[in-house]
Order: sequence, then C-alpha cells, then structure tokens
Amino acid sequence: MTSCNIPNTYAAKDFKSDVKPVWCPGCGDYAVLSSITKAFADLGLAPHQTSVVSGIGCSSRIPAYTNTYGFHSIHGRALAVGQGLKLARPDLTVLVAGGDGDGFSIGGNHFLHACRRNVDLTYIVMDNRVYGMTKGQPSPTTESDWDASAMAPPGGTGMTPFHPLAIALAAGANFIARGFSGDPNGTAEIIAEAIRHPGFSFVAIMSPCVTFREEQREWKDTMRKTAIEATKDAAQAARRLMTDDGFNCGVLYRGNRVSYGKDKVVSSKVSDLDAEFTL
Amino acid sequence: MSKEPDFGAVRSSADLLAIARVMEERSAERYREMAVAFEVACNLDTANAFRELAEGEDRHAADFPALAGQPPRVMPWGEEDPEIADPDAVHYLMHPWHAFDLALRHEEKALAFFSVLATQSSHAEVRAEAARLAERERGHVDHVKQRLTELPVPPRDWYVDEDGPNWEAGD
Repeated sequence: MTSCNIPNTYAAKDFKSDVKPVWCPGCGDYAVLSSITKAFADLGLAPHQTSVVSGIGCSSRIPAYTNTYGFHSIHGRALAVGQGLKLARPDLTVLVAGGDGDGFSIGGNHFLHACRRNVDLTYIVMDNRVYGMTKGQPSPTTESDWDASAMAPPGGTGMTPFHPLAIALAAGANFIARGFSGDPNGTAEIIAEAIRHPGFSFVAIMSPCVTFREEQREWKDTMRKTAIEATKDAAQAARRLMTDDGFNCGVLYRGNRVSYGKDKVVSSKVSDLDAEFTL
Repeated sequence: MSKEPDFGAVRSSADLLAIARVMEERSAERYREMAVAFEVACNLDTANAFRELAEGEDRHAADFPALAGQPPRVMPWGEEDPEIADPDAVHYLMHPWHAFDLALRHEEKALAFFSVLATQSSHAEVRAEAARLAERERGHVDHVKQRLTELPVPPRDWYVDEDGPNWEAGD
C-alpha cells in the first residue's frame, strides 16, 4: 500500500464492480468482461487511471460492470465520447466498447472517422451478428441469408455483411485484431497489446448470443488462432483479409502512424480558462 | 483454438499447490458468476445449484495454503483450465441437474489433469504431489456424482420455451 492507501497492484477482480450483469446465461460478454479486467490488471493499471466508455446495447452495459471511470453514452456515439475524453485527459487509458449494431450501424460513421483520426484509444466490438437487446434483428455483420429469428425478413436481408477488419484497415486504424470470447486468456493478451499500441486500436471479439443465435455455440469449434504473424504492411494485411473467413483470431495489423493529438496537447491553468469567460 | 498443455511448467510441489489453489478459486468465481446470471434470468433453482458448487470450490481452495505472492504466470493447462466451467455451456432453462452434470465434466477433467502429471512429470516431487491431488479430485468426482443421484432428472424437452425470447414478432 502507498501512503494514501491506494494499492500499487490491482487484480482483475478489482476492476469488476458489484453490479450484477443482466446478460443471458451463456452470453459471451461475460468472458469479454473478464478478458478486459484481466488485461487491465496484467498491464498494471489502476482503476482511477482507466476509463470504459460505451454506447447502447447488451455489450454496452459494460461500464456498469467495471470499477473504473465510465460513461454509458448514447447509441453509436461511444467513440465520439471516448475520443473527446482521451483528448481532454490524455493520461487516462480509454477503452471504448460496444456491439456490432451500435458500432457499425448506428455508429458506423463515427467508426470510420475514428479509424482515420487515430486517437490513442482501444475500441472493442463484441460481435454477435445480431441485435440482442431488441430481440433478434439482423445487424450489419449478420449473414445475408439469416432468417432464423422472427424479427428477420424471410430469406434474410440479402445484404452483404459488413467486414469490420477490412473497413478498419481501409479507414486507417493503427492496430487491428480479432479475439474470441471462448478464449478469454488469449483475448486478454490481445486487448493488453491493443492498449499498449499507440493510436486507434480496433479489436473485434466474436461473442456468441446464445439466446437469438444459438448456433453460435459452435464457434467454439470453428474459431482458430491464426498461424500468420501480424504485419505492419497495410497492403499485406489487406491481401490476408481477402481470404479471411471470419474465424481467424489474433493480431492482423500493427501500424506505425503517429496518434492524433500527440503534438496538440496543451495544458491550461484554471485561471487562464477563467479569463476566457470573463465578461 | 488449440494450445497444448505445458506440463513442464510445473517444476515443484509448491508450484503445483499454487496452481491447484488458483484452479479452485477460478472455478468458484465462475460458478458464482453463473449463479448471478441465473438469478437475473429468474431461474432460481439453477442459481442455487451454482451457488452450492461455488461454495464447494471455496472449501476446496481453502484446503491449500494461501498464496504467498502472485499466482504462477504460466499455467500448464494450455487454453482450457480443466476445472473452470465453460461459460457458454449453459442455457437459461437448464435445471440444477445440468449444473451438477457440467461440474462433473470439469471435476473429471481436473482428475485427468492431475493424473497425467502424476505419471508424466519429469520431477519426482511433482509426480508424488499430483498423485495426492488426483486422489483428492476423485473424491470431488464422487461427491458430484452423488449429488446428481439426489436431483430430479430433467424432462427430455427441458429446453423448449413456449414463451420464447422473441415471441412478439411471431404473434
């Protein structure tokens, strides 16, 4: 313990709050929560140095379940809040989290421009290819012919699924990876690496919805660790994505762009700010 | 996912005892999480079953000396901790019997883990300790089997939900 009674090391459980998750039994998001808290602990972070920001949806409830600074923001706007927070408080580790509907549909435009802007934060999308909170509508990553839910159109949407990793790469994300909730330790390692990597880090985590997409329980057998090393060459990463079937886990791309705001950080005294408001 | 167990990571009896304690603690934590999930899903019988399992794992953990420092960084079981219940192996309609059936599978995996170490470790001290731990796990397996005989076996159609999660669209 330090002199002000703040422990100098924190375990994963120290990053979990006392609030009981309302996720369905068997939901992959439980394991993602454990991976996030394990990553924070493994990095030697402290709750007061860490912030979790989300949008709306099942997975976006995650700030309530973490014992850090947090902001359960509005639908699709988590990245806007997270980037603002990071620019205002560059000392904080900012992790933005949400689902595929929140991030790629309602927040799709924010996602593109957050990749371009390259603020130093980590964005985790728990992808279950369905809107679970609203009872099973197809999301941007849903297969085009999926119609197993009463909430899906007969024959499916007929729309090509969104490819988050390819979009992130094309838009300029500086770190791109895919994890799987069924491998919580491997996913924790990926999240820790994403947090350490400067700039905008994007981690898609396949996280089954066992209520509306019960067939996703089979991901346990289909997800695999990629045998290919990560690359810093965007063209090579793009070629790899051309043959990606969505079941490869690991780090795809580690870029070396300078983070946005790195050279723009200015410190102001409160008295200077006061002066700006003087009539 | 396929990462093979690394039995060579266990080099001493102290290592093995620390690992065994961590296994029990993590297992208790997972069962507690499941108990909470089933409470929230209003399946209180199964929530109570998971709570009973968590309390059992707490008692098992208390059999070992408290960890003097950090748990070992490298765990020997590859990607699947044998005693931790698979988080997506549950269903919101499952019965207490299923909870104990799930626990049985993991107690059997833990027994197999220690049994392999008891025969394959290159350290005599580890082999001897692992044999003792395997015997202990055999007791846990027997206990869970006994509990299964005391619980009602679920009906064949236990997973059928006539008031399913997205009933609104169908009606």
